[in-house]
Amino acid sequence: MTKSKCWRVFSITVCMGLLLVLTGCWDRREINDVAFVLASAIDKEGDNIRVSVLIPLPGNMGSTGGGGGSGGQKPFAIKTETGKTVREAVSKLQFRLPRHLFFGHRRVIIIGEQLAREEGVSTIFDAVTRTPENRLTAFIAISEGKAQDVLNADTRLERFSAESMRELLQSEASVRITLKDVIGKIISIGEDAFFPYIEKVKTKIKGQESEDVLIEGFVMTHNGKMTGTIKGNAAIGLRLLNHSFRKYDETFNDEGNFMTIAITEAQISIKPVMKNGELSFRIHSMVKASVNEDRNLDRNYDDYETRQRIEKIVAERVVDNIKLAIESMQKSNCDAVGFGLQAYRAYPQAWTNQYRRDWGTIFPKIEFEVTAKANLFRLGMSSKNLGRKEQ
Amino acid sequence: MPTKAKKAKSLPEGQLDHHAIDEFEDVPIRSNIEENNKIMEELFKDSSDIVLRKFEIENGPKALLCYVDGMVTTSAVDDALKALMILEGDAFTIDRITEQTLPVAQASKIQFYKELLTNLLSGDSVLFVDGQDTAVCLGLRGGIRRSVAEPETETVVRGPREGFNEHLRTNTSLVRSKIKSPRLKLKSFVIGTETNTNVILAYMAGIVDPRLLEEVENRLSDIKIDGILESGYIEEFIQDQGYSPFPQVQTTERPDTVAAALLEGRVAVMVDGTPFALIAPFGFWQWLQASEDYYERFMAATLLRWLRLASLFIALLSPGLYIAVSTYHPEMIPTNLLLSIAASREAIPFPAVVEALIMELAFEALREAGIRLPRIVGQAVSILGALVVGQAAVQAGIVSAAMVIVVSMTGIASFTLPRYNAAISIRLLRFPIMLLASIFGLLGIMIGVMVIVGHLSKITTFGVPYLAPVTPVELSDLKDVMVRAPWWKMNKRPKYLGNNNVRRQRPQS
Repeated sequence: MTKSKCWRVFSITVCMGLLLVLTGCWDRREINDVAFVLASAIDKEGDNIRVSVLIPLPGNMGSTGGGGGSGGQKPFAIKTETGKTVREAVSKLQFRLPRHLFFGHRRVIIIGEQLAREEGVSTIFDAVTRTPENRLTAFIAISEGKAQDVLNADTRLERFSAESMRELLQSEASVRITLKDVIGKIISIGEDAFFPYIEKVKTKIKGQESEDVLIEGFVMTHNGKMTGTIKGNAAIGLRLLNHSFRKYDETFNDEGNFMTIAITEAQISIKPVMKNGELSFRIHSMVKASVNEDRNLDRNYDDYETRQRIEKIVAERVVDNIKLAIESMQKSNCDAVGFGLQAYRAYPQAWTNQYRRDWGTIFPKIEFEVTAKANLFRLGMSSKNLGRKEQ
Repeated sequence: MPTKAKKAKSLPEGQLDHHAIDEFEDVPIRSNIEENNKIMEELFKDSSDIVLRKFEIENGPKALLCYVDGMVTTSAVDDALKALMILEGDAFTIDRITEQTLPVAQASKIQFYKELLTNLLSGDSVLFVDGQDTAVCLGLRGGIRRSVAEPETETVVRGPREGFNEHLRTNTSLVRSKIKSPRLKLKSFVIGTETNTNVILAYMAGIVDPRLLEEVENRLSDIKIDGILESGYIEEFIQDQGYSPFPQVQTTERPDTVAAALLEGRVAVMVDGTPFALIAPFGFWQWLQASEDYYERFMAATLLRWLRLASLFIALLSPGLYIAVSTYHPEMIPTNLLLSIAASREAIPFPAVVEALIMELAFEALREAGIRLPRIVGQAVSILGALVVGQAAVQAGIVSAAMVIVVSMTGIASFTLPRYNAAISIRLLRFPIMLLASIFGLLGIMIGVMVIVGHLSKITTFGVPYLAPVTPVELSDLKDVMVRAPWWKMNKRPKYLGNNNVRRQRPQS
């Protein structure tokens, strides 16, 4: 090696060596020094905002995985702090914790009802989207009562209430609503966001006491503020209207006999109609139904008339549900389905001139024409009731 | 000193046995047998294995037979002596002896001492006859040799089970028996001023690129060293980039691998005294080619190629990725997996990088110990390794279970590479990658990988780009890179190795 080459190798080695003794601001953080926030709850408390976070305790989880906290020790902790803003509360909370709060794994955000009604969800959106640490795929829900209480639910089925809420919020019981979806709906005109409405309920069997998180229905918002809720059949109607349909059961009373029919598929068409300068919507829903249970032993499914009658009953119920949903949407002044957007796409000129500015006041008075058609396509494993005696 | 030899025909000064064989170049064999005898005795003073047998041909001149004890077949020497002692007639010329008398298959005439010494020490017997300035070299080599055995470093499920051994002629005969063609050339070199090791350069005339051949020949004849004890000496002398961590010469114990390489237009270097032959050029994509790929069905071979490629990345990157992701980017790990890792890491006192280094070093040490130790003790090492590293360390809370999994995955992945010297370079580079990952996270891994890829695309192996035929791309050669095309599709030799005899299957008429 020549002298200059030697010198070059030597100087590079020295520089690399010096790099190791430099104390820079490394963002290296061992897993042991991080508190992973799995879910957070945001409530209003007086003038302040209360932020609660759910942190798993790896030490209580059992090192070989599974198992769960033995000896009655919960595998998670909930920490809470208040502040004028969400971030202030978080940084105040950080002062009390030996580990760094890390929000990259937050999958569930719960907002308290009071906060949603009085301040609106938009106010906290900045806090949960501004830093890149946050997941836009986190599920968001509004809780009945305090969000903190829901976070603390002891569901027993999962290790963390956050886990059970996440599973629930992406299951058939709900509509998957993530931060990303909500942002999309909030910023588009002619559409309002809706959220799953969750509640803590208790299982009261002796020795089996536990708390569950229940999805009651949906929260209607207008301009980011909670204006009402939609539950029961109306919630089903909303899901039919929304393209995010999931399979569900309904029980019908046909001439005194109860039967449970599953609606397995649904297609919706929403057509804005402009007639004499008046905007109205024509909604047609096509559902596929299948029989799950029939308490009438003698019903003969081979009979065309019978099947038609069942289809008619189902279709009527679908119409009712949709009408209920629209009614409560109009009452809450929440265009959760995006009727405004449909109108804009069909009649952009009229929309911009006439409706865009006052959609909030016009929407509750819009007329809707709802029709439905049901198709009974599956009768189950047997077309005859096996409990019936052969005659 | 070599100036003395230049003078020619005179013996080196001082004690004869203090000079290298090269200095006896052009020193003629004396016609007086006593003089020759004196020279030989002086040369082989204190060499108990050299036999100098003086005898007289019946009614004729004195003669001297020299050989190295243990390197000749004694019975054959006896036969030769018998034939010589009862030689009748009067013309005792060397020509008559070699051409008519000796019942020996290989006999050649020698006039200078250098050649004589080289042959004698390689196992030939040498015959001096009084009054003749020419000696006869009798090829009666023998002695104890290891038999042809299954190669231990490159075992196959399907394919020939014979491997090279330490005897060069056995090795060349194994190759010759694979390629029965006069095109197969086995050019001989003698390298090493003291060891005078026989080195064979094998190639297929008319297939190999003449420029490649010339380059290898030049590099081989430029080696000036006292001894060559293994082909590794030669590898380091003839490779293109001495400071690269990547091997540029392939080593193999298998005659079929050598034959296949020769047929592709590569050259092979075989060295006496070692079962490992060298094959050049050797590029990155040969790392993934096992000899069995060509014997198994092509779909299975292709699957295995992909597996090896994946293993290569796992072996190189997985500890680094684990460190980077767990200390810089925990958001990239699925939540439940992260919680499991967090739970297993909860009681670990070390940072992830220290943990990884401990485990990797322990693993490398175990592997090294397993190779070096006598086979009987080897089992004890594996038990210790499994118990201590695998279980006790985890239970004691020194390393996490996740890290054990990562390290063992890495180890298994590095074993899947069929080329041991390539696998070593990957093992080596894993450590800088781990350090980079611990300092810069994924960014560091990217930097490391980019430096490696940049280096790979820069270096050459005997003038052929290391990443050929992928970069620079040669479309028809890609049939044997990521996939192994069926044999009936691979009708051309690799073009990147030369262009002078590309077709390996005759076109269907």
